[in-house]
Amino acid sequence: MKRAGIRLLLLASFSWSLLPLGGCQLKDIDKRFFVVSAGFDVADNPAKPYRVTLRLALTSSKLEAGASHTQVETMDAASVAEAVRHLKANVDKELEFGHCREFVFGREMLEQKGFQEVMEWLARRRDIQGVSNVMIGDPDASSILETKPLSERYPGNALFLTFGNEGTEASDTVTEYLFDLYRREYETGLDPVLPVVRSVQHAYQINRVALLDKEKIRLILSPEETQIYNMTANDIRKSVLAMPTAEGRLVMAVTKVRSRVSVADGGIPKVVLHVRATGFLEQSPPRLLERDWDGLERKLGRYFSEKTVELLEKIRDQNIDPYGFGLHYLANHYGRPSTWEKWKELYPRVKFEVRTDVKIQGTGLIR
Amino acid sequence: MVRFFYYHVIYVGMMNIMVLVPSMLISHRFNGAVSAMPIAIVSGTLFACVTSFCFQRFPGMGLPELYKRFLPRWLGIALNLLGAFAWATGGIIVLYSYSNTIGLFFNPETSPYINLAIMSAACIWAASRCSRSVQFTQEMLLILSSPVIFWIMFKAILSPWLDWDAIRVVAGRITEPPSVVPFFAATFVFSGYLNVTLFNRLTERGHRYKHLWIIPVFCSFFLLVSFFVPIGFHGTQAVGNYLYLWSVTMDCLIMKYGFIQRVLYLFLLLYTLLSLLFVMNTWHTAMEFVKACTRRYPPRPEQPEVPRINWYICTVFAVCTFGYAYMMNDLRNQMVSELWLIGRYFIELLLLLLVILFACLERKGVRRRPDPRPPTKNANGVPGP
Repeated sequence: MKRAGIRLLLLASFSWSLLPLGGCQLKDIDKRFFVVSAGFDVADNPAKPYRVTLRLALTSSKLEAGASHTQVETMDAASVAEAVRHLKANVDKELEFGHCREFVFGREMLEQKGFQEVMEWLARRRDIQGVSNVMIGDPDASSILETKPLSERYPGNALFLTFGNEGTEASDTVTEYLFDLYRREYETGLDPVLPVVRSVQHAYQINRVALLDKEKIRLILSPEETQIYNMTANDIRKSVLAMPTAEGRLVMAVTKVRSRVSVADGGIPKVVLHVRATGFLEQSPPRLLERDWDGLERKLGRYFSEKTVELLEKIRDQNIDPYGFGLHYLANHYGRPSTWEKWKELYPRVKFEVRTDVKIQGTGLIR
Repeated sequence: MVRFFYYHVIYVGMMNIMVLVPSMLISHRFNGAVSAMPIAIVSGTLFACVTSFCFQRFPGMGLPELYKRFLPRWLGIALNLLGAFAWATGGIIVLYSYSNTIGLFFNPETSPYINLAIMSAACIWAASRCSRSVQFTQEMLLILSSPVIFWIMFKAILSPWLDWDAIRVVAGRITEPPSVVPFFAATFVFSGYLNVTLFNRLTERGHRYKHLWIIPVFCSFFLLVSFFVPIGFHGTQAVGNYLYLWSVTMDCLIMKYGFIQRVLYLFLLLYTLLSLLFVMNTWHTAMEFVKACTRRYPPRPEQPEVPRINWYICTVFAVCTFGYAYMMNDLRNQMVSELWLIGRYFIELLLLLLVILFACLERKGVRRRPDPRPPTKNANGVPGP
């Protein structure tokens, strides 16, 4: 009996001694500032070349469009890590990156310095999510972070709803995740891409994509080209395929796209891109389709193929490979290192062929 | 009751992530890891099937009883201690890497020793039970966690962000001559059968290890997944830069409408269960091996009350874990687990040879001591059904 009592006492004192351990090292939620997006720019000062801008959520109980409040803080420093540390002196609460899903690189930074040093910091931090969205801010990151969208309900949600089909499903918005950017930074035969964000009035406009070599921006595509890129590289749905005809413009709403790459060997490899697009006509001159259904499908396909080949050649001439043709070629040749050397040499002369198979399902409600 | 055997096979197959098998394989991905894998599959299957087949001849007996039966006493004790050492260090390594990962992703502000203390308290408690309870715990935890683990695995395999070209590039390196370290690492995936060394005590006369095909099928699947999925997500080059490879790979997945959108946290919780299982099993086995060195503790796999010695031995293991944690950092831990994986392979080889020898001796009727079991009763003295 006595021994059981001693044991119980021991157990109780042990469990009580555990209690304060949890309390002393954890900060409460009301003593934390949630960072909702972070931006990285270059500063003019050569001693402090990095400018970090953080958008911090001000929590409130109101939940309606336009009711989100945020605070934007900026700091220049010699590196990103130092800038974030120094920034803590500007705010009254501990910074918390666990909910930050938007990282904006300033366009100027990507043109001058590249993104590698910032990536080092992002990839190293344990609390930064691999599935964060990364993008380029045009003209700089801080202008994107300072935009206050009218439709925002939670601090920071307007920007991430536009990506990854979470909210809008725009066909010219390219979604890029942090882990994918890191993969593309190092991969042989696959180069980075980043969507370009511009702030317009009280909203964001994300309809262009920047193609990069391993460090810097090489090419920024127009919205039309971005849509073609997105359809062929990411199989994005809900896009349009438009073609001028003698009687007026013909627009097909695409509901399904499948694309597949094959690389035909030879002296100079030929990249064949097979695209299958299915959809219905959204706008067309009257009774055009019923006259020549098959012919129209073929014509649309040919038109799209020509446009795509133009784009692919434009990308190839910059010697970048956002589609991963090089990686595909390497995979076909068992990943031998000599093949990679050969591909690098041959890529500027590679030929492209696009075979588009368009299937029109209908004309909508009228003929 | 053969299902208990396969629970071990399957959970060790999934556990390979925590003893850093994938990162060892991936660091050799361009020089011989891929070609070592088929050899490891053959070797692992062979080891598993032959060993468990030989154990069929000795129902109700664990490895310590076989030593007692066929070997001189001093040799039996030495082999028992070797086995105990190998098992206990395996548990210690996993416990350390696990508490490290948890500390990094869940709560970096607490001291790593607190994580370790809580985890090892749970492990001491679980491992000091009797063999039968350990096996029941194993069944419950595995049934709870494996559906979600399989769900995550298939979510990863079917993800559109998985780059099959990168996987094909690495798979194409199968023409390189195989190298040794990845071979040793890959055979770990098949090591689940090693539980027969202790849990064979719980089998009854006429017991057969049926359905041995499960071992190559499941374990090869786990091996391929744990090697190729990180490559598919991080590409052939960047995958070499990561330290916490699988945690980072799980961070590439997203549950849009789940209450936690980072799959990482779900994954870490599930691997908490698996790590606890692993440590429970290894420490329990090591404890029983240590106990088998003296005559005071005859094997009693269904003992409801816990003898004090169980607590003492498991507490010693926990203290060793703290010592280990004090001396280690990430890189040293990686090195030690590499050494452990290599050493484990040779211990498995030794075990295989011994067990074949025992089976031959049994057939010839050569034994040092008579069969301790009465003809119709189990090893623990309870009348059979």
